[in-house]
Amino acid sequence: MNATSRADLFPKLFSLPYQLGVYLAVNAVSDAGLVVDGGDCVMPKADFIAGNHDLRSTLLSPYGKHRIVCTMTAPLPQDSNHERKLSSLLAEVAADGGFSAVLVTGLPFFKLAGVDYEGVAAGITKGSPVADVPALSLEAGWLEGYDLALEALVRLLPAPRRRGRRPGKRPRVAVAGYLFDRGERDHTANLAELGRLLALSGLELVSVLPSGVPFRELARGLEADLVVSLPYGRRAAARLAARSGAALLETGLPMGLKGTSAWLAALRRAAGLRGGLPAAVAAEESMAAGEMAPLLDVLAHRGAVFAGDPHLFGAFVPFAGELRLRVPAAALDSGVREKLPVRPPQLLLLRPDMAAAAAAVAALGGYDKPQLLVGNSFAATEGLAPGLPFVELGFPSYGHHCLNDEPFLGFSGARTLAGRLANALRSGNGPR
Amino acid sequence: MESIVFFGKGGIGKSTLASNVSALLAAGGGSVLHVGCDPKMDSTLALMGRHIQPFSDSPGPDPEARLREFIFDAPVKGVRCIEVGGPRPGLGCAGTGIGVMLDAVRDSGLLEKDGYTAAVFDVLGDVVCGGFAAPLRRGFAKKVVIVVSEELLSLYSANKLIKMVENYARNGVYLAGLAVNAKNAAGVRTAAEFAAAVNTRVLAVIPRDPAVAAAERGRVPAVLASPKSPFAAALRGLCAAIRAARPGSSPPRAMSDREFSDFTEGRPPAARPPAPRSVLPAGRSGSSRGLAAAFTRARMKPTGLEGGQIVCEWTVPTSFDWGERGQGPAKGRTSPRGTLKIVIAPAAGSRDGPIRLSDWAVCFYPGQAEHQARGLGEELAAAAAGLAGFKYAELTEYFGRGGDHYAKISSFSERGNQAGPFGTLILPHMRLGQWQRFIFPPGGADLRVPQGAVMVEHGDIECRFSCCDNGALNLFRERPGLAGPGVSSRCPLLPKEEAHVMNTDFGALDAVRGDEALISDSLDRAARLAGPGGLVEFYLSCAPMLLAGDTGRLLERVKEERGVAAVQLGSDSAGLSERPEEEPGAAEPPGNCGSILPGFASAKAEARAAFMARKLAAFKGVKPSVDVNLIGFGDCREELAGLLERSGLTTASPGKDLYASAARGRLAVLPAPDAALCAAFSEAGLKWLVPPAPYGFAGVRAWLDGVLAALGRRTPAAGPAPGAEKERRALALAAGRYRACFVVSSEELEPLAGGTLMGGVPVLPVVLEAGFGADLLVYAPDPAARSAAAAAALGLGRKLGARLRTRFFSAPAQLDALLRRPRAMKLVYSDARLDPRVTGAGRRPFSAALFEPGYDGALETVRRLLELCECDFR
Repeated sequence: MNATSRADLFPKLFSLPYQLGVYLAVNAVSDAGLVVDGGDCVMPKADFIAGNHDLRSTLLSPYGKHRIVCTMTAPLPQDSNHERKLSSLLAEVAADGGFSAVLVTGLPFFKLAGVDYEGVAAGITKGSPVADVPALSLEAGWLEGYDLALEALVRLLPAPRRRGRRPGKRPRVAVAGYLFDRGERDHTANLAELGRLLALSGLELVSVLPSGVPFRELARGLEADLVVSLPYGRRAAARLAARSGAALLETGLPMGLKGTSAWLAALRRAAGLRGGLPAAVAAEESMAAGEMAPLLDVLAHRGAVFAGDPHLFGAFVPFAGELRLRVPAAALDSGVREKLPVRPPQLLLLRPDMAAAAAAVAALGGYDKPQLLVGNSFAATEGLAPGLPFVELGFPSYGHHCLNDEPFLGFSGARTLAGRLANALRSGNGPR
Repeated sequence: MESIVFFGKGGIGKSTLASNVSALLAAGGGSVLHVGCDPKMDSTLALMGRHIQPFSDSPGPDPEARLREFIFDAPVKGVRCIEVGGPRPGLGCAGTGIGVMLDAVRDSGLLEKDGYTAAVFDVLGDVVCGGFAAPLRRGFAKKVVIVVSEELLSLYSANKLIKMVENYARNGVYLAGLAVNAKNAAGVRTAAEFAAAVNTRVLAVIPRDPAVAAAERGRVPAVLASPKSPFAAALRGLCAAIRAARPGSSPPRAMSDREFSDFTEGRPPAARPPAPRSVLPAGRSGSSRGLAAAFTRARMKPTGLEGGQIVCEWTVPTSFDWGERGQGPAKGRTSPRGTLKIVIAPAAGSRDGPIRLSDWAVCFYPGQAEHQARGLGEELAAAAAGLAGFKYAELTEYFGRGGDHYAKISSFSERGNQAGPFGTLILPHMRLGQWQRFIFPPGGADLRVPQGAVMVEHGDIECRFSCCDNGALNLFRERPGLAGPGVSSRCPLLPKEEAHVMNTDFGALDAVRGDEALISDSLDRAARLAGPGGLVEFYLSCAPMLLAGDTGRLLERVKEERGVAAVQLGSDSAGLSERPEEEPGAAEPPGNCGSILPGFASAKAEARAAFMARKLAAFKGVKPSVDVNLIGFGDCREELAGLLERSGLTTASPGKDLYASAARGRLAVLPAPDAALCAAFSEAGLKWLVPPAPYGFAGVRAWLDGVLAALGRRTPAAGPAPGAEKERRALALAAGRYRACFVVSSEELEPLAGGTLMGGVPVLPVVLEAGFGADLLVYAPDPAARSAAAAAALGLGRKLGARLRTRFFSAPAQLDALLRRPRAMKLVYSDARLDPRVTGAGRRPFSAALFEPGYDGALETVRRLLELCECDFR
């Protein structure tokens, strides 16, 4: 190898750290706190979310009441009993009264040192409940961090009340494992859309985990008859269902017209409702299809490069298919735990070196040459497909903020996202 | 399910006992998983009759599948075995390997799923780190058996192990007792006395029996090979005792080192209170109220932590006759007369001349020991005696008192010296909850590496994401001012974003197997990037530091083979470890927010200076062709070059090669002092200058005058463009209607006169020059602080030739009230974006990022400030 450029010698991988996922989960529960065992280098990581991706985040506070705090500990000098110090701090945070639930995790070197976070957390018996999130930074990525932090929160929920039978009432549904990565109106609109569609489908959405609500409100998820497990929180959903005794249904994201209808139908079946989807749902799908039809001329037979997380990718590809938009290449920022629900594109890169990925995308030629880039901020800032029109989607989205409703799930989401894709192609707005 | 873990000093027979216990438990009809947690991998030898492949040989996803692959059916009926294994001796972290495997066991629910009735863990001889205590985590072992002999080292080890069990009692773990493997009756007696001393019991005494050696040669458990042997009989007894063991009402308690020493010398420790049922976190000490009163009575006020020791202010009794005893405290060492600094430290590590009380000692602060001689030592001893009833841990807990966990964090930090008299705290996420600062000194400059140098951060992906631009609090904000990008709204990039800063992506496998190959390869790559003669800066971050690899040797190799200079910096780069004792007042480096963001550590500065001097030396003899070389300036470079050219000076265009450009200039002008660059220029005989910051009309003129003077020119400095002065007066008229406010701590008052606090931008002087009035709101928690701050504010006003209206506050509510008046106070300085403390009071936040250099920049700055004053958005 004769390469001497930075990109060749030290590839910048398209991947996000485990703790960023943990931070996202804490960000999504408005009164949760997190103690990170480690030095102050853990604090700027919150800036990848607060103020950059989520303009409504309360993770950091100018008043000083941050929801993420660190213990300011380092490997050296060694403390004779570090766990005692940590316990004392956790007890203080739990007793603070400002947090309804407290999570604790640590930097990887504490995992190497064998710190017993679970035991330390269980030892805090006064104040807000405390749970550990395993310190898995060395072996897992941000999506695992998000899921495990949600699971820890589910462990802390109060014991469920006995679910009584409710003859004649709509089955109650809890959606768990939603990636509520910011409190802006893309996600609030998504949740409103899911609630609306479930109601049209004869179901009652009682809780979404997480959804920006306070910790105690998440306990409503324990009242559900059916827990729908979205891919960002499989463990959390399973734990929620196990705790309440509800039925568990694992699904992908309800994206696109057919994807949304299929999702609703699956939920109805799992909830024990007979018959197909109500006519109102079919009418909604039909209406949305009609509204989106004029965009097909813009989108059909074009190619899009996707860059982002594998779960969004799994939902986006079928939706793109509906629009007759091809996805010849994808770069995913996390390993894939589950089998992808779609046939992989010609070029599928997992946690790639960004420079190499850009070169591979640039090499796509002929009918595979893409015309559009769909993905998170880093896809653009790292030059994955320079010059291509860009639709910013997923975490992080530093260049696209939502002051108005901009859902991307459900029928409304399909309309909005299709509009964004078509507008980008028409206006030819390249990455910043 | 029985869940038993065997500990004990190496070579004492743990594996023999553990494997025989496994065999006996299985012989009783049970299903036993025998887990060998020793990198030697010999625990399962007697049960399996052969070596088995260890779990650590197969890293990868799906831990349950891997786990099952490495669980082997033993020839002994009912026993299955797994060995954790470990890295090549001397490399990696075996403890981590144990933790990883046990996590897999628990997460998979394997013990329950497969219906085991018992799990037996056989752990490495001495527990050297938390990884070897992994079986004591929740969901694993309940009963601990410590194997001892009569040897003192074995008992010493056992004593330490009991401390470990105490720590994990919170998980329901308890010491079942001791298994004594002694040579003779005297040895058994010694072990029994030890058991009594630590309040535990002897479960069984294992006789020396040739049957054991014979069975081991045959690689079978002795209890099966010789079931009638004395050994087998003792093991059956041990097994029964373990089964019958229950947590006692009075748990064991380890001896202190002193007590153990007494024990070894035949002096049994005095009766000691039993350990608490479980060692749960202390939380707030129940005696904190009493402690507060005791501190007050002692006239002591804890003000900070230094090197793990508590620094206090002590008010000398008024009855003390200073005149008779000497000349009073040394000048500059004390606050008001009669107040001295003292140090409370653990007795074992206290400084010279301590007065020992409880498990701590008190002494005068370094440099004040002369007071001891003046008779003040007796006064101090008398005062501190009132605290003698408290332990050192209680005193440190007290320091973080007040129900403020942020203060608690800070009190735990060596650097979180809140009320400390040693300089200013700089981290915006520190000192929270009580008084949160408005001015965050910028960070990030340290990430920039000199041309030709490569910075390698040997760390994991979390380290890689330890800096981010433009966040909510700008914890790692870009430097405002001359070196920065000016007003910027750029999005964060994928870190590390600088062209010559790299992360090695240290991962789990590197931790378990050792990271030598990763380091070696990374250094080679960095050396190639730097090129021959280049500089490689190698930062060892926290996780790899635990492996304690021989990085020095690897650095030497790359220096030799690749012809580069190389320097290593360790955890100190994170700024978390203890500061040198002889430099208690040393200024903190700015911007220490990330793992690779050191203060300008002297080793790094020296290496950089030497490297840059070498690079510059290559251009020795080059005749200067331009007057000024502007180095290290950001987006404002063009504006400043224009000013210089209008003053009759030539400037160098920014070249690709910094060193070649520098050699061509008669004068290098820098935006701020740079320890390495300035030293390199001096060494190379190049002239350099850091003139006053060119902000505001007066500042620009001073900057130009400074440059011209350094070049020996007598030509006048360029003035503002025609019409600029008129516009300035008009803007000043408008600005006169408004006031700008600075919320500061008393330590921040003096720096307000210059620019260092705000990234080199002299904000207050420029605001005053622009015609705004200025208010100071100063945090002063007590009358003494208020009086000192008032004097400092007066001095600041005199220095700037302005009347600064100064008010004081000691609580957030007071500050909020002050921020709401007067109406003319439209602007409040804050580095937190859209600071709600400011907007909530109906004011507009502004920061140094709005300030532009140069004459045009000065006008633009005032326009921006006026726009903020006059906008009516909420």
